[in-house]
Amino acid sequence: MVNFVAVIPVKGLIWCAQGETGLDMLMQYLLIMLLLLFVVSMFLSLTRRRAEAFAKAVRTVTVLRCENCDYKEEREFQVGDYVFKRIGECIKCKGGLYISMIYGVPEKPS
Amino acid sequence: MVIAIFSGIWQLLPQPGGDYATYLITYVLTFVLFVLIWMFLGQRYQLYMWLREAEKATFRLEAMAKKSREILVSTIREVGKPNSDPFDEVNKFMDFFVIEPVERDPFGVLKRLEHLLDVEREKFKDVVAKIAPKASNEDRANLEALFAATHAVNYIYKVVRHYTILGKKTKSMLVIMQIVYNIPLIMKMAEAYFNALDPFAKGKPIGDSVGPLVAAKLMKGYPCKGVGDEMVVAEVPFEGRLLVVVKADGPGGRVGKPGEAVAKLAQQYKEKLKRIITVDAAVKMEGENSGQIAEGVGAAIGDPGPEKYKIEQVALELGVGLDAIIVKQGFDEALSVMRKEIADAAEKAVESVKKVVREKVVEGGVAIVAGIGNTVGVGNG
Ligand SMILES: [Zn+2]
Repeated sequence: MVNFVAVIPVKGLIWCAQGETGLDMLMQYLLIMLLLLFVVSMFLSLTRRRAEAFAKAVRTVTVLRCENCDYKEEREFQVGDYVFKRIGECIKCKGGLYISMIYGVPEKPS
Repeated sequence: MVIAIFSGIWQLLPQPGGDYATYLITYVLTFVLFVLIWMFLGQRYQLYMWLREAEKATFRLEAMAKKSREILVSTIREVGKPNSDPFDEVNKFMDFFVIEPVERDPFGVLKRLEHLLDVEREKFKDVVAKIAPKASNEDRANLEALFAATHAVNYIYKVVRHYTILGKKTKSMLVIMQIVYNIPLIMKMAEAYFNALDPFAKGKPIGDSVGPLVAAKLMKGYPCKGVGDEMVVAEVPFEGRLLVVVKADGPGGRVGKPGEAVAKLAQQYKEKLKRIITVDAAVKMEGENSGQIAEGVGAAIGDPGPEKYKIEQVALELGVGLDAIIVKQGFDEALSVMRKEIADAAEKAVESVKKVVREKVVEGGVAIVAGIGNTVGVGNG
């Protein structure tokens, strides 16, 4: 594929320059290249669409809060988490820690 | 580049100074040819393009349907630890259907519909109990919802495939046009159901959980007990009034029968009952913001009918006002993992409920607050 894309235009260009009616051939050559470019870009756009996933990538965040103080912690969602689940103790005041919020944020394409 | 194209074409035309008659004939013939092509092949070409589009959508939906079944099966294997392979059972269940009751004789149609919905729910429960015997109660509720979402994706795939094949067979513009012009909306819907798989498989709250989330926020710190039909209730004192807060039993993916519960509680508290407030997620219009809160009257509940009917009926019977608070969101957002805007809106909706109670319920009165929706990922406060 790479060979095809890289070699043909160069060879073609040389062949055109050597031809007798140089300018005419160059024009036709450009026309063919234009068509090729069009086909290749169509092909690429098609394959790209096929690879695109249909599930939206989201990162799910779990927010933990303390019952007594204003301690707040954010972490990745773990299976078994649910809103208002009691989770251990607060590291600041030993009060009860609970899940106050679970939400999804759209993942930025990396 | 443009010059390149036209110079090429120019070569084909008779050069000035050549035979003028030949030039004219060529010109007219070309013109006629194009008209003929346009007349006879234009529609054919359109048909071909539409069919291609329908086929593309069918392929995409097929992949989605397949993937959704895979997710369902792997979740069943994970939480249910079944003895046998659940794949065949899942495939068999994808053909499950519910026949709607006759509406020509409308008498008692809601009773009949409710009965059918009960039977349907039972069927889901039976299937899950059969293929995932070792799953916990909460996991079972999630699996039921996961089954429903997978079923929806598969059903959409089947409908689109049906029209595509029918269109190919009949070559009917009418058949193909119907499906092609609907594809953007259908795909949106299919994607929404597909995106619901992840939250139900893992027990994350979805946009629709905002109703139960508001109820849970109000319930927090007060003991709650079951009222049957997978619903829980808590009595919450608030500024001299009593809030009777109802929601589906969480954190499994349950919807419960909120109408039944509200009707039951309304009868129980009827002496002091002043207001019934329903909180639900509602589909926004394009252009509106997600998480926007609106207040209105009526029963905010998007069920097929029976539950809504019960709330309206009991409110009428007891002469109590019905208030509705909705949290707006897109259809796709309602089914995928709860977005931050909506999670934040829950707090505002709580304030709206409190405001309504302050305005409409005198001190010493009782208000029923029902958080409507699927309570997946939301505990009981
Ligand atoms: Zn603390």
